Amino acid sequence: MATYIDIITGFLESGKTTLIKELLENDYLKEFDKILLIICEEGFTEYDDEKLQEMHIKPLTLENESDLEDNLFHLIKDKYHPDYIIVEYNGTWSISEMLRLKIPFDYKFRNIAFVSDAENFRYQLDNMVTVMQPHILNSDIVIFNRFDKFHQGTQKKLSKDIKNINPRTKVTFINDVATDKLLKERFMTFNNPDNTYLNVKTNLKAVFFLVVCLSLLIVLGLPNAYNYTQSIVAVFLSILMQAIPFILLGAFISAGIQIFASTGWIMEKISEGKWYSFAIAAVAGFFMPICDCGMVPIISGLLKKDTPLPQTITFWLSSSAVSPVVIISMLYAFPEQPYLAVVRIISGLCIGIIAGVVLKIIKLETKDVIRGNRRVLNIGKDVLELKNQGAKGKVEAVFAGALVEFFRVAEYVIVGACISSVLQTVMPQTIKSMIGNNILIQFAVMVIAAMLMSTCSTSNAFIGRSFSNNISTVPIVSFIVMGPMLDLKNIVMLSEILKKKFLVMLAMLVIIESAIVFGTLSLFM
Amino acid sequence: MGRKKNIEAIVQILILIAISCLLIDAMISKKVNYYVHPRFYLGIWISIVILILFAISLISKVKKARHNVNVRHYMIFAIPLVAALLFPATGVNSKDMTLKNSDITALNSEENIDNKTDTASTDSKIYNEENVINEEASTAEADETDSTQEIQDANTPEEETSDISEKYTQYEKNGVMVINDDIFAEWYNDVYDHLDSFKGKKCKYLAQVYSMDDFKENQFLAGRYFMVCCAADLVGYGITCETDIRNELKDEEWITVEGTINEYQYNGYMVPLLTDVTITKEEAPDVTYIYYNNY
Repeated sequence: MATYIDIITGFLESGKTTLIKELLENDYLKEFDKILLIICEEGFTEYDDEKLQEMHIKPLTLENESDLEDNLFHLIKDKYHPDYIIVEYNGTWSISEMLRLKIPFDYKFRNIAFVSDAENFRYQLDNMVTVMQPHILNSDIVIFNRFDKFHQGTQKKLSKDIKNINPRTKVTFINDVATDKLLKERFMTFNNPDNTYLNVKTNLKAVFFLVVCLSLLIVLGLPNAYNYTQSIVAVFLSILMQAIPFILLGAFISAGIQIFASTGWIMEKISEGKWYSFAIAAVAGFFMPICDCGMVPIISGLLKKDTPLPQTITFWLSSSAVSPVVIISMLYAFPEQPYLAVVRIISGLCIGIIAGVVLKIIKLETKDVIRGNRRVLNIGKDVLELKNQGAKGKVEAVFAGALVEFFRVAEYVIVGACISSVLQTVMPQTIKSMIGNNILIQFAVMVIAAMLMSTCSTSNAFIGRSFSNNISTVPIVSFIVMGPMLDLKNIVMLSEILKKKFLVMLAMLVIIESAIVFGTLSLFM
Repeated sequence: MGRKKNIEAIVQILILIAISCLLIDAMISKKVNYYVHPRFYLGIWISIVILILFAISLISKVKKARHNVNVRHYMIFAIPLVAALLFPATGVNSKDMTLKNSDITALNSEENIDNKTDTASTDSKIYNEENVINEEASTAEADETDSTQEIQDANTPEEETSDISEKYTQYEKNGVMVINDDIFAEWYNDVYDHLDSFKGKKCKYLAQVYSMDDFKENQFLAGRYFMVCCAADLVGYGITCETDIRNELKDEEWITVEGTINEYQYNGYMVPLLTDVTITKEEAPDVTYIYYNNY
């Protein structure tokens, strides 16, 4: 049978020793005969040697982090032959120093529990996030004690903090060690829940099942199903392929923004929060000629840097209208109506600036709409564990940050591209059949199309043009302008950082503004 | 003796390598042509290099052992990887046409509506009325067309002619405009927009044969797929051809078509028509799409 290793970690005085004592006293570990207790920190509460002996528990004290030598567990096996090891770990030591040790094949890390004093948790997280984060990230369970003064709401907030760092970590607020359900689940071998492996397996099964279903559908279903799927896949992959360079570029810029605090004149002006900063934010997109999927990581990078929300949103909404590439694409898509390019720029700027001003008026701030815990979302220099110092270190930090950012954004891009590729193959026919002569209906159809047919801001002028035999000019321009703003793929990507409620509100705001702007326009055109 | 590894780093490395392999394969085998515009090539090569550098930088992290790692969400990367393997790009093959036909019909008639701002209606009773509006609109927009002309001229300064069709005299061989893939998109749009100046001219281009439901028996559409940015905006365009050997042509067959540009009324609009058509059968080209070279 495997020898389990449980690690109890946490800062000094967080209640580790008390927890271990109670675990031992409450028969949690009664099935083991030869328990080894490794103590890495001498706390204020001490173990009672006699009592330990009585329970056949051998203590082993490690004084320094350097005592964690590669052959530690090997020596332990030879000397003590334990059938269970519990470690009281030092919360200031790096957890990966312990985990990277060689262990005999029949040894297994079972639980890592992070113990924390609930009253001090937030203060500690604020000041020592880089020390704490890896411990929580690696833990299976976080145990809070001394929370007597807390009400339910505060407890929820702490749980959320933990979930933000590692969504798989379970949280418990301990009243009585003897009856705690979660502890029983984790520390009693017979219902050992170490089912990471199983989870992956069930997931694999689910994916496999889906693939089988899909192929069955293709074989048995419509004769065209294979080709239909193939064209969806082609669209899906093509969206991803053209997005990859832009996402990488965006990831680097975003990481750069986060690591170098000040990013030039434009960002400073945006951050100042004065009224004219809206104008600067609106035209700033001209100097970042990348398509909208590359803009999303930049926006989230800015928000993580705490730039004011109204200006950042103005920057985001206007960027796709003022980009030089977009302007050129408009001129080429509508060679007979070059003024439409101007219309697009002006209406994009209007919508962006008005949205920003509205947010400013209702006094919505970045911290109200940002999702989860910014401290954790932010790529800190130290979290990335750098080897180098100075300029070299900064380059390394940007590179490592971009990597983190890339994986974070890519997931959302895949989901978004998946949805929009399916819709894009289905939509055009549906749209064409839904169109009437009523300009209001046309506008409504274009709003839906803008949301669902995620097309790159650089090419949606051409898509819009293909509607021109069914739809009049103003709704088409509204489709082109709103496209990148309402694009489902972009919204899904932004939901990584912004709260869903806010995104829905923003989308509504954009639709209302567009209705006003294009309603006015249709009087003149 | 075992050693705990950083599973997350390993998974990330595998994903990065898988993505770069697929991209490299797509680039080398030219399958990338089916997905994106050639102007993305450089960007994709740079991306491949960066992804590989990412993977290399992660190798040192494999030793940073981790516990309770959340790798489940990386499953999502399996979607594009599996999709790419299960449904390799074969370009627009014969089966795809059933989906794209409708697009071609719709887009075929679309070009002539550019001159008017009213909504289109195919109701036959208002054809005449609309045509009148059309004429009025086109005279009214003459100035505008001129200004457009200037913009286009500014882009191609060597040409300062009012007759748009003379742009293509340099491609003429024995009185026939030979339209290669690189100028096809521009030429096609010009033919539709300035049909009058092209009337009576001879042209020759590579195309595929498409059938249209509402075509006469001796008619077919000689068209190609156009890409602006990526496969998501792929559209089919073509010119109607009249021939006596229609029966000998199969759908999606590659041909070189040579004929005289004429016009005829289709769904109420004047569209180009190729007559006196000579057809030569061709092998499918390596690059089947037409790419807009606008920017």
